[in-house]
Amino acid sequence: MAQQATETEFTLDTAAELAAHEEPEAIRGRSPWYLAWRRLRRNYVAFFFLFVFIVVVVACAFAPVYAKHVAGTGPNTNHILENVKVNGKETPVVSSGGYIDPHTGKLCPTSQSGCKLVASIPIGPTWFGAGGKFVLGADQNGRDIAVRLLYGGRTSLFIGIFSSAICVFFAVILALVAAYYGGWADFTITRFFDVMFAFPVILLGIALGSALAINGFHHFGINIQSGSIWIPTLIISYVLVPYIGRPLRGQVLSLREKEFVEASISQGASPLRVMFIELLPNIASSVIVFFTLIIANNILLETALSFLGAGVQPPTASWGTMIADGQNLIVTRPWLSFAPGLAIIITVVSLNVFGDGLRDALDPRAKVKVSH
Amino acid sequence: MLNFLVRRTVGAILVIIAVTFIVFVIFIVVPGGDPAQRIAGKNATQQNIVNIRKDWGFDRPFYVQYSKMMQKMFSGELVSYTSQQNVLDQIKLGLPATFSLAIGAGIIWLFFGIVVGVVSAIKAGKLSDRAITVLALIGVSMPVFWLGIVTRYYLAEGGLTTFFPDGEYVAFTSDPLQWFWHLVLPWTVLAVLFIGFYSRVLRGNILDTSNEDYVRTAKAKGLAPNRIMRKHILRLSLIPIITLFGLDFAAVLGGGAILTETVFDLHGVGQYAYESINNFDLPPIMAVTMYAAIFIVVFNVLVDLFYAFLDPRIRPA
Amino acid sequence: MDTGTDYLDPGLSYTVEGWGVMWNVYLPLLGYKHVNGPDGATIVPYLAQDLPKVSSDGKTYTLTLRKGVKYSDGTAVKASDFKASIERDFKIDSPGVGFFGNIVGASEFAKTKTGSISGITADDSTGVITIKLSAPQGDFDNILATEFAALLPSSTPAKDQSTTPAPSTGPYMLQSYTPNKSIVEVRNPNFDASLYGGNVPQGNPDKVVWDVIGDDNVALQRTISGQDQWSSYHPIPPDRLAEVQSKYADQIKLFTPANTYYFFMNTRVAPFNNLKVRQAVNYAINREALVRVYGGLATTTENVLPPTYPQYKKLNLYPYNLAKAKALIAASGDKGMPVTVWNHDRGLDPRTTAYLVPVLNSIGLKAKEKIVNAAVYWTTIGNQATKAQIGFADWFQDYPHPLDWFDVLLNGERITQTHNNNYANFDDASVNSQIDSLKKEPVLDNAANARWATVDKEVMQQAPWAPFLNRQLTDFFYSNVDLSCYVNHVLYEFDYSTICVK
Repeated sequence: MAQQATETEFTLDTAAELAAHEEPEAIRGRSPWYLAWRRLRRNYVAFFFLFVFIVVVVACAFAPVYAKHVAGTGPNTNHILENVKVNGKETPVVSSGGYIDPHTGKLCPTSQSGCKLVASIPIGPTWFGAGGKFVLGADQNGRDIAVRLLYGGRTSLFIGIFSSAICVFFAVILALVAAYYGGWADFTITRFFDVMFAFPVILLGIALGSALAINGFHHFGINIQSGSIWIPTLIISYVLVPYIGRPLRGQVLSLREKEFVEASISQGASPLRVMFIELLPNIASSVIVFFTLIIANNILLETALSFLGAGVQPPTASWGTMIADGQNLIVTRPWLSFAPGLAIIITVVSLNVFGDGLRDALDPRAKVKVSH
Repeated sequence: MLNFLVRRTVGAILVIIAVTFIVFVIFIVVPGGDPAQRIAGKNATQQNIVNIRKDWGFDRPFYVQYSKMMQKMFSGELVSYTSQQNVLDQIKLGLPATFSLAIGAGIIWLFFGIVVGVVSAIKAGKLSDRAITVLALIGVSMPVFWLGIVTRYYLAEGGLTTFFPDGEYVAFTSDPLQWFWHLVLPWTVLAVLFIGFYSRVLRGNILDTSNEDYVRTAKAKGLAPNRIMRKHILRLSLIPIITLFGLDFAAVLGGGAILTETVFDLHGVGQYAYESINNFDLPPIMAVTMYAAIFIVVFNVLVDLFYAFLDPRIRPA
Repeated sequence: MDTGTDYLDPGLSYTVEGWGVMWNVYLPLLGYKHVNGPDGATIVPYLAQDLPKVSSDGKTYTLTLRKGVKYSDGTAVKASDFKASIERDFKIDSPGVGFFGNIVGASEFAKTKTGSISGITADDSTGVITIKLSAPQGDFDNILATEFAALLPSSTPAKDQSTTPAPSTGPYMLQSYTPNKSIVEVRNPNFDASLYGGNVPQGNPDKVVWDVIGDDNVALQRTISGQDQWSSYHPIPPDRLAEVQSKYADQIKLFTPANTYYFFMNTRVAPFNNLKVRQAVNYAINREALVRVYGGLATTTENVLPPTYPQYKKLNLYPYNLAKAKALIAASGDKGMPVTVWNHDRGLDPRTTAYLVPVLNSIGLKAKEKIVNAAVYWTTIGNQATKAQIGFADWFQDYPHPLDWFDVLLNGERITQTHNNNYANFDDASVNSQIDSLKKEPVLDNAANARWATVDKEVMQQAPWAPFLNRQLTDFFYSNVDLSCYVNHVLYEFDYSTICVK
């Protein structure tokens, strides 16, 4: 009956009939998260770099697989006196040194003329010419650099990610408490931030790293041995708390004045409820962006501390300690320092580009400190 | 204004005292750090160690030791545990290198940071902007010590050339040309990091400011784009940059560029700080920490004053 | 010059760099010949007229001061200056006072620092100095030849004089010292070489400037370019050795200072209280591998003493045998025991334990490394409370005498609770008594040398250590230096007083 009517005229009745046949649909509200996700989705560059970062993480996670099946050695096994066949030629992993007779290649008894003084130099990159062994070469202890690179990545990534998580966690709590309660709580926390800001980050990191490396950390019911990678993790998270906490506190302060907070308080909401249900979700986008960008910064900080000897302790490999180890062979075996450096750059750039894209999508104002 | 300054000064002094006290506690609490044994050397007798403990005051309670150390710091008599060198003299030795590094690098990174930031903001969204963004992010992502090692290898030790000198600092007073020559690489390495960072921040600020209502009004009124950029946008966008610069510059002056100084063997205050910490040498650690804290705190106050000067809303009551 | 110079006060310096500068500046009563090779260990009179007359019981030393010796400021050197200098060492808490502990009255003086050391008498009119010891001490001549025993004017203040150098007696005097920057020496106008019969050289250079450089590469570059004429205390980085060798082979000199690098094994703590385990470690390490860790510039060793000593007799008790090591561990009953391997974090030394840990794991122990900051490493392993099981150690001689090795490092009677040097806590009654008996030998003749070699062997049969190498270092010179005058002294290394230019 309705169809006959639409062929000739369109009246309000026909509209009403058509409407009656439609399924009622709710109005779809677009949450800011959904909008942000849509913006992010269109940023192909950011996603590409996220993919790169994931590749790095997966590769490092599979370090034991590489060690066992490709390189045939662990990260700490020394092969100083062994030989490998590189493209058919027998080469020592670490060449012998001292006064060598250039004709026989053997040690001279005394420094007779014609003998040259040579130093022991480890093998350079074999690029799969030795069947997967020493792909990037060996270090002075005859250890496989490629294997150490992957294991070192595990260390650096672990420290970077966990220190960021801990740092952001405490920074959020401090920011919320300071901004919500005001008064003495705010005063104490801000003074604490001020004192921490007065230290150059690296200086405080080195001081704590050197001091805690001796006997570990055994206070407040926490017991950590000195070689554990939790020490640099905790130090880095502690040192950076004010750099996240202060901007977050500023944001919470401005949020606190808004009406919805006032409304919630006047309705009798408890402080915990106000902080975590009302205020926290509104700084969530900042927190997410901070978290991503600070992972990048913390990886750089960890490598800097390890380079200076105040971060990860040997024999645990980390990209920073590998660069320090490779320093005195930079002229003959530059790959010892290049490889970990490039690994750091690739990882940190991916995080930075993705974090940048994330920030563009979420559009908060986030400023992150970098170590120099 | 005077009230503000007095309050800030008192606050600054308290912060500096707190900083030195924290560092002191960190190193006093370290086990195995008994300085008497280290000073006594390998062949010492027990009596020797007891004597050293008495003569240096290591047997006093830690707050007494702290106040004595601070006294000595102000009277200029503070000596280090290793070799009893006068700490303030050593810091003075390192000042020219640190100042040269900071000022030179600071000029470079501020100038290029602003230029690159403005260019990438003007060309926002275009290919050149994307390329600059990637380059800037690579600059920010490089470990500064690694960059130092790599440039030393390629440009000073023969990787590509030995054109540049291989580390070390030459005093301006002894040879200005060599002074400049030896600083080119350290300046560049230190600046690369900040240029990337500052250009991104400035770009973000310019783009944000461009979206403000009053800029739209100015455009609607028919003001020329260049004029808008110069008179309105740039001024406001530069304020956070100047703030950041004040703090970063203070940090480098205060010996915070530890990595750059160490990698290039410049023997500035930063390198001295690192060596002292590595040697658990408490007196220089205290002195350098205080030196760094003073710079940071003073520049913090200056930046606040600058902000207040520029933005009447923030003027302290 | 590297940053190792600690003091330029002969009463305080305890580094080879400080001594290397000062042995031509501050002369003690006795000293060494300025020659290459083992003959450089021969003690000859410097400020004393002759070698000391030792009483038959070995407890009284008598010397006479040379006549006519003056300080660089023109004042005459007096016999009482010797007594004042030793007392000054105690007053300034010198790290060298341990050497003088055997002098009668020294420990009393150490407690109060008032009065004087009763065991030393000096007569300024005759120039005679008498030293009474509580017990005979075979290396006392060497101790009289240390810089700690150098004579300074009695009026020298009892505090560090490095930056305000005291007047000198040697061919050179310190004109200025800026710590971590430079040291400048000039000729001592009041030095008269003819008084010394050739024992102390006149000195070739008129002026010596030491630039303190931190980085080995920077030092190398400066020496290649001629900014400095020799890179002292900066070995050529192994990395650059090939390049330097190809262009400047004639300017390199390789030398072996008296040193031994070893792993100590704490005989008081399991599993190293078990002889089988200690011997297993000695069999398990391939010393050639450790040589390569040091860039190839080292020689392997199983001895306590270095090969440059006349008392050295090469030992080959533990040829590399991994299977035997495993068998010994299995037989010891300590298989699977957890072991912490200690090391510090500077230079190439941490690599030795990076090598050792997998080796220990392969023979049946459960080893892991613990790296400690170099500033506190030695006091940490020297503290009994640490109970350090095994770790890295090295020893560079204080003076060329076996007592400086066995008495300091392996005498069970000198084990202390803290500040211990006998990291292995080695306490063997037979070895202790041999050391004590040899302490009384005033002269190192062939018989004494043979006895020391026996001690070396006996110690290594008990294997409290696993010594692995003697390190070699390089001196590098600028092209205008004439290396025919090159003297590398067994104790003080490169002698700058004899250097000559083309």
